[in-house]
Amino acid sequence: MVGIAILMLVIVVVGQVLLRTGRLFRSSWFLRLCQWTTPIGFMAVIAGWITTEVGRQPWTVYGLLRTADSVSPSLTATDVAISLAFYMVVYLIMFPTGIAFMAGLVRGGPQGPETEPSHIESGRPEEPFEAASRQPYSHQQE
Amino acid sequence: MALDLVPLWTVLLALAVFYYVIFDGFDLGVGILYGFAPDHGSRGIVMNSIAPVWDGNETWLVFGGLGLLAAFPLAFAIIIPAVYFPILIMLLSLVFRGVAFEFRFKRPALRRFWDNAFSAGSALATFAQGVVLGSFIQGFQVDGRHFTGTSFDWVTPFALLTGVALMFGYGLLGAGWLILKTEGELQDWARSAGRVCLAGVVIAIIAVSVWTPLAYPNIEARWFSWPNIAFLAPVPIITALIIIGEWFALGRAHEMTPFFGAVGLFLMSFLGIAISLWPMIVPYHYTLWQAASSESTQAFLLIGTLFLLPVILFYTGWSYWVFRGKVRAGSGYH
Repeated sequence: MVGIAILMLVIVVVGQVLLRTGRLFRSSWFLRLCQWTTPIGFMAVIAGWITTEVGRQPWTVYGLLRTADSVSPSLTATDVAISLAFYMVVYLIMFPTGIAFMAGLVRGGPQGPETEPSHIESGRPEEPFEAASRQPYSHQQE
Repeated sequence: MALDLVPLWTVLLALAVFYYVIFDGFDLGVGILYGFAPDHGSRGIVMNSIAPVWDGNETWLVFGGLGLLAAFPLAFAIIIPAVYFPILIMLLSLVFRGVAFEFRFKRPALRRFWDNAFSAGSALATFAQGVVLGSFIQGFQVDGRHFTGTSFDWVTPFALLTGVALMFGYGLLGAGWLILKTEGELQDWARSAGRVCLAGVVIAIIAVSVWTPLAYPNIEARWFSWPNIAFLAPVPIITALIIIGEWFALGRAHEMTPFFGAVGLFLMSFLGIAISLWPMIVPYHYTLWQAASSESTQAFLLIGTLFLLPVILFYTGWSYWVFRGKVRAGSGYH
């Protein structure tokens, strides 16, 4: 996780250097690197959580309270299994939906500069997915 | 410090719960009514009426839950395992509701699925909260400092009744909000929906108010003994007056009154429960003082809270001010 953080920092610094010297949009190796390191944020978060939760065992409060002693007395393994099953069902619906949506946005490609400005009343700029969805892919608008 | 911070934390926690019930109450209520909206266009307006503000409303739930953990940990340790499944159902329903906001607009092909996700998620989350409330009033099986019941103790007729009651209550709040934010035909629909919900709320308040004293002699003694009955009589009297006023306000052209009448009803119900249960935080075993964390903990938390709470109130007020006024068709709030 820490390694990934350092890698991300290095990428940011290199990106800054390229930007200042005007080579950012022409250095295909850097852009390819950015493309391949897209998921490392997720990996870092999951790695970090595994580290803390596994490394903490067998203590809940280090040196004072063991995990075995911190279990709620009323909670059975069946209860936890049921709740875990519910979580899995919800995640199995949400994650593919989100990924499919993101894939559709990516497939639609970036916006050209000639599209008209949005009609958001409050004067806020559009969020990226909203701007991207005003495109041939999203075939119907509100 | 020899200061007793428990009353202060009680007030903070009570405020957090009350603010949560009002703020998330109306947007869950709007979600429940959404399922009954007449057509597609009006659904869009209904959703847009809460789209800019619903996120911030849930922060009060976090504040309330964590305030309970931090300031009254014994209460947290006993209550939360007892209502494990209602809280799980609430959380997962809120997931569907939250995602439905965004995906309904972005994926028109799946609109019906997200419409159902939105209204069913809101309804189920409300029901789960009502069940938690009912379980709380019913009390918990405790031995020493542990909860000794099962994870399904919440499945009782009383708790299921309060679950349904809260759905009507939030529906009334939601109707009040829609009256504020919409106009024309949609507002008329909100008014009639509000009347249906008000009828449900009245039945629920009467049912709970009759059931609780019958089932719990100590509550009956608190309300009906002399001189308590004289001091506490204003509560049901004011409640009845608000109900009558609300019925008429829903029929006439009042725009602000229905929502604030509903808030008043919630306040009265809240006071009624507080009067019945005081000073128990774990009914009917532990008082607020017995369940409290140490003084230094509460003092430490108070410093952070007193700094952050005004900030939260400020930005909440500001966001409602920015998005004040009626929702018109075609305006996007994402």
